[in-house]
This record gives sequence, structure tokens and C-alpha cells, in this order.
Amino acid sequence: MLSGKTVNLLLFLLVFLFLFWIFTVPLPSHVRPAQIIGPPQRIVSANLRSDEVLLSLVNRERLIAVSHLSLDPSLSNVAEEAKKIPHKVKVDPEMIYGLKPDLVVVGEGSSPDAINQLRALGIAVFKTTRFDSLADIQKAILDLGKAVGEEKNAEALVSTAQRRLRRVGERVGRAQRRPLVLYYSTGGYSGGRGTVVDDVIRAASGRNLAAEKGINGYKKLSLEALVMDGPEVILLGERSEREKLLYQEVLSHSGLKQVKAVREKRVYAIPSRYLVTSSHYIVEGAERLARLLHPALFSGDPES
Amino acid sequence: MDRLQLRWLLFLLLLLGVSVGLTTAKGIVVIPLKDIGSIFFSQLPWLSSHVDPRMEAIVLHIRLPRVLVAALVGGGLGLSGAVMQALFRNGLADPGILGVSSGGALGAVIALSFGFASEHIFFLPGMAFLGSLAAVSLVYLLASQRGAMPLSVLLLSGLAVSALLSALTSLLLSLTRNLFLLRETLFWLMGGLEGRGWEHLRIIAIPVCVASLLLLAFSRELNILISSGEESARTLGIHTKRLTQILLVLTSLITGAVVSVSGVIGFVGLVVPHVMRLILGPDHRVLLQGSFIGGAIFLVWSDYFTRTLFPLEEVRLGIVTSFVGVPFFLYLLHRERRSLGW
Repeated sequence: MLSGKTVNLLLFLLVFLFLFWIFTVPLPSHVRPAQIIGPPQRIVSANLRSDEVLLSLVNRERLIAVSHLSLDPSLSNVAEEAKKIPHKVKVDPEMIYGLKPDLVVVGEGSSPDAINQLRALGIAVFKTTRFDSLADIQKAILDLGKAVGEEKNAEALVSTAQRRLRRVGERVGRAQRRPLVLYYSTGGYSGGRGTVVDDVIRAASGRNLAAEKGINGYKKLSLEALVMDGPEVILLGERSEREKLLYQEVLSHSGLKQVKAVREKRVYAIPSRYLVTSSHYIVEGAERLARLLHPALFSGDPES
Repeated sequence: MDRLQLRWLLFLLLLLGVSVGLTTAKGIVVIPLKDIGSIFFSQLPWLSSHVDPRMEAIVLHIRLPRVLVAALVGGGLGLSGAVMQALFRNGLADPGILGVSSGGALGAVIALSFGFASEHIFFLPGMAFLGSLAAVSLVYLLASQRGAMPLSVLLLSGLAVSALLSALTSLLLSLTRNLFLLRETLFWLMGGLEGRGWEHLRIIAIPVCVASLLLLAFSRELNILISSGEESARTLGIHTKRLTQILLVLTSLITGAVVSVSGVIGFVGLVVPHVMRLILGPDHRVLLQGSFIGGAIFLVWSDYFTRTLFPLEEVRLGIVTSFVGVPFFLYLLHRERRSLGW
């Protein structure tokens, strides 16, 4: 008969059965991934930076998916090539598993639970490491090359990058002085010691204002600091309409009129994707910055 | 309680079962209905399935546990919300008002900043749960006075501790060099169930189910509390301080366990009890069960929309529940004003 007691009894029974069931249902338990003979043939890259590297490392047929961010031209250095890859993903176990990959490459900062779940289902997941310097980027390219069985290509990619950086170094080595550079991104962040931007500025023979102030990592810098420290060059990332506005703002801000960089109109914008990438495309950022910092040393060169 | 209410409860239970079934059957990867049927039936020991084992893995090991976790999380929050609202005699009470959510968040941020949350699957929920426990203990300590635990002091302590822990969490985040940690934490704070599997289900099932069943035993006391107030309850022989303590322990256990696995999901504990009150009435002998089941249904569907509506964007679960919760909350406010004649 329908009464409170029977309903509660029913609920109690259901809960009991539920608990019993979920503790006795067989789990997949870390399935050992099927031994792959040879290098992975169905690679899913779920992270923009590994997209960029992998598109230069492996044959396109082996790359079945890239991250959805790779299509965004303001962020990605491979927006055109990414269009040709059949699938776009984010780090979602169901989405990725459904593509039947034999290797998934994720970036740092991906959901640990998602990574665990993929591994529990027997999918090999390669997690890229932190990129805090140009050396880190190079090591990461080599590691990724090993993971996908393309060590030779990775070494070639790295040596090309190193060659380009050396050429930049040779040019700017002749510079009389190294200008004080402030890198400023939207939100007021600058990159101090231990960041890729710091390495790029030094590679272009500049002095990083944030590093000289003793800042580690990406931190906010106040406008007041800007005025007091007087950078000679202000470097902005040019990514979107918002950043173009920042550019105008910096040039016209009354408080900044006295800053040397503003007075001498040495406020430059470089597409952000060359400055905050963690792939070999970072070299492009170094080359462009070098030209901007030391135009005299590059005059006579054809415009890139 | 009458027959109608009981029938409603059974109907809601059925609705929950159907919801779980539907949301497990559908998702980003399209799996034909007859394969779903096969997979389901092959769970019976004497039948086997001829379905691609990958599809089986998606349904049984990716979707099903996630949906079940959503049900437990939603149910736990709904039930805790109903109990809190009765305990504080306030329709605005929410499971997180005593610092459980902020404690869990702080625990989670600390866990995430260690960097190996993905190597040890229980580290993150474990730290989050410890954070919740610590927060509630602190609130309890602050509010305990000789012989009584006045609700107003409890509420204020809860507010103060929540504010303090949120500030500490923000401080930790602002000091970090690691931009990825910021992003990961932010996403965790907004709630989400990606990658939640059988392990997560198992760690929260016992605390949530057992504590919820225990709470059901107090429905009579809650009815008295809410209709006559604390004084009358005491004259009727209810040991109000003890009752408050027990209820707080049980709801904190549930909410702490739930937050440790799903992050902070707002509005479920606030909105679901009100909706269930509209359907089932204020009698806690049915309202408590109804709030659990209603909360479960709500979150199962919210999670479903999170996964399917914008598959490539990061639409967090807490955002979806807020989008539903806020308009409803405003509607409640509007009704309150009307009844007060404003």
C-alpha cells in the first residue's frame, strides 16, 4: 500500500542496491595500451603549441585532430594548415576517445581527471612540460619528436631554429647599446625572469625592464612603474581589436608622455602569436624584435 | 503527507531513471540506439554484446559514471539545501554558507599548485575535502558558546570564514607564476565533471548516500523547527543544539564530498528545494526526498547540456546552473515582493 513507510523503504532498498552495484561493477583498470609497432599513426593534439610543432614534425595523415584553438589566426601560427586536419578537439575524454587515437598530446594545465580517464582507458597520453625559456622550448620539441618517432625531424627543426637565432645574434652582437624594453600585454602583464619573453628580448639584444626590476614570471606592472623606469621601447602584443586600442592608449595617455619610448615613438606591436608561443615559431618573434630594436643593423635587408 | 505527494515522489524517481538513461545514451559521439540497447543488455551475465568495445567503453566508462556522479552531486546539494533552509528558517540558505565551498576551493588550489594532481587521482578531491572539513570546524569552533549555538552567530561565523578563505585562495592565485594553474583553478572553481569516472563515483557514494539517508530520519524535527521555531521545538522535547550539530555534520559531509569532486556549483542547493516545495509542499517527510531527486535530475541535465550544447567551448557546469538559477531566484524575489504588497 502506498504510504510514507513503503516509499522510504523502496528508496532505502534502491540506494542499497545502487551502492552494491557501483562497488562490484568491473572497472577498466589501467589497461596497458596495445603495444604499438612503430611510431604512433593516429595522433590527437589537444593543445595549440603541440599543434604547431606536430604540423612541422609529422606527415599530415598521422595527425587526425588538432585543438580547436589552432584555427584562430590571432593565436595560432598554423591557422591555415589546421584547416586541413579532419577533426578539432578540446581535452574531453569522450570526444578524444571516439577518434580512436594511439597517442594524445596534451598541454600542461589540462584537466587531470580527463588525462587520468584517458589513460585508464588504455590511451597513451603525452603531457608537454612547462615552457619558461627558449631552451625549454627546444627540449620540448625534441621530447615530442621522440614521443611520435620523429627524432630526426625534431633535431632538424631545432637546429634550424638555433641557426636563425645565431644569425640574429651575430647581427645584434654589433649593436652599440641594448635598449631597455618593456613588454606589456593587455591586463598590464609583463614577463620577467624565467619567461620566454625575457629570452626573446635578450636574444634580440635588448634589456628586459621587468627582469631588471627583479620580477619573476608574468606579473602585473603598474603604469606608475612605467613612468619611473622610462623604457626606451615599449613592445605590445598585437592580437585583437582590444590590443590595437591598447596601442592607441599608450601613445596618447597623458601620464606617459614623458616616457622616452612614447616621446620617440618607439612603441611597437608584434602579433602575439610570435611572442607567447611555445613552439619553434618563437624565433619569428625574436627576429622581428631584433629588427625593431636595431633598425640600423638591418637596413638594406629586404622587408620580411 | 498524502497519496498525491507520494505519487509525485515515485514519478520523480522514474523521471530520474529516464534522465540517467537518456543522458547516457546521447553525447558528443553518436552511438546508434540499438547499440546502446546491446550494451545495456550485455551487462546481464548470460548475454554478451557484439558492439565495438570502444563504444562500450564510452558509454559504460566515460558517460555512465559521469552521469551518476552528476546525480549524486545534484541530489546531495538539493537535499543539503533543503535542510539548511529549514535549519536557518531562511529560504536563502544554501549548502555553502558555512564555508564548505570556500574551504574546498582553498584545498583544491593547494592541491593543484603541487602539480601532480593528475598522477594521483585522489589527491585533489582529498585535499578539497580536508579544506571543507577544516572550514566547517573553524566555523563551528567560532560559533560554539556555552550551552547554545545561536544561529545568527553561526551564520556570521560562516560568512567570516568564507570571506577569509576566499581571500586566502585569491592570494595564493595572485602569487603564482604559473598561468596554467590559474586557468585550471578557475575552471575547477566554476564547477565541472569532465573526466569524472567510477573512482570518483565510488569515493563520494557512501558519504553522500549514507548521510542523506540519515538526514531523512530528521524530517519530523525539521517540520517542527520550521513551523514553530526553536523555542517551541525545545518545549516539545527536541534537543535543538544537538539537532543543529547533527544536521550540520551531515550536510557538511555531503557538501564537502560533493564539492571535492565537482568543484563549486551554485544555485542547486538554493533553487531546487524551492521548486520542490511548490510541487510537494513544505512537509519535510516528502520534501527531503524530493529535493534530492529533483537536484539529481537538474544536475544530470545541466551536465548534459554542458557536454553537448557547445562541445568545443568550456561552458562550465556552475555557469549553466547559474543561468537557470538566477532568473528563478529573481522570480522568487518578485513573488515575495508581491505577497508583501510592494
